Amino acid sequence: MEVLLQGKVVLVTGSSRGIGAAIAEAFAKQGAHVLVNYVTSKERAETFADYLMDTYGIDAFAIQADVTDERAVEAMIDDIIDEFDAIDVVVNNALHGYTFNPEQRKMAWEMDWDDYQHQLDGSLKGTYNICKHVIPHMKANGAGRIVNMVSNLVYRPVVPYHDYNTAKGAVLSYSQNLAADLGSFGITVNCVAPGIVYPTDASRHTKEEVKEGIISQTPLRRIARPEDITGTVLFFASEWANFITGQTMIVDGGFTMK
Amino acid sequence: MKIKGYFLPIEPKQTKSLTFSNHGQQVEVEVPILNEQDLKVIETSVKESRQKYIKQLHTSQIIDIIDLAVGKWLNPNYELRRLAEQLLPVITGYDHEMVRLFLTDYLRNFRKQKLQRIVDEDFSNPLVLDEFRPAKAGGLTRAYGPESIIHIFSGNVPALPLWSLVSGLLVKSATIGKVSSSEPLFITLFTQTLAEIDEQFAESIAILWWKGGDEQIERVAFSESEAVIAYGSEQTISDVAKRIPPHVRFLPHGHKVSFGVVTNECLTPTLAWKTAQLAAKDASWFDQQGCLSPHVFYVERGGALSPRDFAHMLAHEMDNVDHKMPRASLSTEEVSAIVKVRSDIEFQSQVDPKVDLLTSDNGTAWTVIYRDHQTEFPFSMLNRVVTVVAIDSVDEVPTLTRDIKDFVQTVGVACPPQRFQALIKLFGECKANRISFLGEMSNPQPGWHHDGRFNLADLVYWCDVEASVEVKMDMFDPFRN
Repeated sequence: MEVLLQGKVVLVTGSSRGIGAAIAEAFAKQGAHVLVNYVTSKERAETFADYLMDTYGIDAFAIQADVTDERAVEAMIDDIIDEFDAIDVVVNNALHGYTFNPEQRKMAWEMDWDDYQHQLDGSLKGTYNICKHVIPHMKANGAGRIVNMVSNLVYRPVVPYHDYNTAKGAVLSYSQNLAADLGSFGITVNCVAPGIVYPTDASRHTKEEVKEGIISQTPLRRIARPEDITGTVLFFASEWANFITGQTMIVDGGFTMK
Repeated sequence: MKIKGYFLPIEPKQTKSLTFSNHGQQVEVEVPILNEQDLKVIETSVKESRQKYIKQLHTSQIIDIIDLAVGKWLNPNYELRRLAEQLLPVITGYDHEMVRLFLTDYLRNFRKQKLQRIVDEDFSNPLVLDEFRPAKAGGLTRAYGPESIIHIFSGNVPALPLWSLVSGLLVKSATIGKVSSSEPLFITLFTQTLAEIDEQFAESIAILWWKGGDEQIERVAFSESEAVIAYGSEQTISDVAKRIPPHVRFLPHGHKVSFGVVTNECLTPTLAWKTAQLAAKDASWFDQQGCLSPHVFYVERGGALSPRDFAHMLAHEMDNVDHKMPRASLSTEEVSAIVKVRSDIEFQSQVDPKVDLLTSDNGTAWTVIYRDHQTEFPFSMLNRVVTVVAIDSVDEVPTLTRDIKDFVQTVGVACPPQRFQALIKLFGECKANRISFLGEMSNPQPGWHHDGRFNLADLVYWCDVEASVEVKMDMFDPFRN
């Protein structure tokens, strides 16, 4: 049995549902203690944390904080440190709610700056806030793993969700710069770039023909499920990825190759 | 959650609950308990309503009403559609996504122009359903549907009873629809939609339940009606047949078998994956429970990829379908049937290099059996167990399927246009009722000859007015010259 992640303290932002929940469960399955961060879905997050504890015999807590609110993030990190003394792994998965509906997206000329700002706040600022308040603890520990969720649309905007894709591109660039500074302290920063993941609340409105179009150009011939993404996140968080930082792994069945 | 699984002109004195549990949820469908007297009252009521209303409508008006109902159901936000999407997976165990996609595909077959096609397919002049029309051979003719039809619906694939219900309505018959204990909901909900659109129209429809094989009830029901349409296993059909009086028209739809054929032109590097994807859809859709689902794919040698390669690609695609639309949970008996077949084949594959067993990693989600040579028809125990048999030429197919000749339903084919004519001739002679392209086996087009028969024309009786009446009555005309 692998014990690479056993006992680690892992914070997954936006993990009461969808990909975030699948990531939290994957860590719990490996014996890590999991903090299920949420903004509004209190009951759902608490039920999910109880389920993780009962099923995997680890510690799991639902913990509320809007990642775009720096004070709330600071308080959340302090609470976690008070309880566990450390944060070993952070997965920045939260973003401002976004519905992936290729037919209802805005065209380039319809975009307002506020649209970009909203997604930059959710993805980039949220990631920044978490990192800012986690880094001191990781530095003190001389170790830490940061995994930031981006998207394969950063490389190939098969559907140009301008605001979302741009914000994810910013997170990618931010992560590489972070990696350059944090390597000296034993902290790695990597990104996971999933393709479309179905079913999630965000992708529920994606039409069959869009999914079929993507499948026909995907060597593994299907769309990812939330569980398909988790292996790569675990890898970056594990000792197997000791010497990897500033990298992005695309998890889309081979749709994007680079 | 509790929901009504009947639509009746009277309130039943007693009901019982059929309980279904799947996907971690439970639903109780309430069905009526009826005695012979209740049934007579119901039959009289729907017949009277039919006499007063449906019989007076033109077929085109009936089509408009059904079209409006289908239009509502094609809207994913329609309340009853949402209810069906939520509850049918719990009732049947089928995957939510599969039910959602199927409802849209299937209901599109009942739009106005499709219904017109169903009628036109059987009647060269559809107006004969409304009035006496001139016959080509002289005189006049008119077609009458039965006063009432008993439908014995099956429950293996949800929503399928709609086909039968619509056929009866198009010939202006009153409907007594007996739902299956395994899926009593869809047709009840659809009838409610008809009532929302035209209450009087729905008064000639009764959706009810009795325990299949209840001899007393069935004798009363069948003797009061002019026609019985029954779907089910060979056993169900033969039991029903015994209780139908000789004067009642019986249209049985018993168990049928389907298979697929892939020609070697489809096994090129660019086409093989698509072919395997379509085959996997057919072999996974509704967990092979429909008569239209393939038991086996006969795959021609001589392509760039071998039939064995195709079996492996099919296995990969079966796995992909399982990711998207997992199979329903099975009973212990069903699981052990699959496990047993797997262990038999595994043993064979170890001693015989011409046999391969490909299975899902965990559990019994799907099974692909490859055979380099096989003369007997490889029946599947269903639930996503399918065989690939290599053949030298499609000309072997009639011989290989000789044993099931009287039960062949659909042949799904993947072929280039150059071989189309020769292939359809070949499969027609295999006694196939229907030839579709691969990937479309489970979705027959409107107006197809179900089990090789007419849908509407088999229900009606004709009244011919001979030319002699037209000619000779003039002799008795008080206004004659």
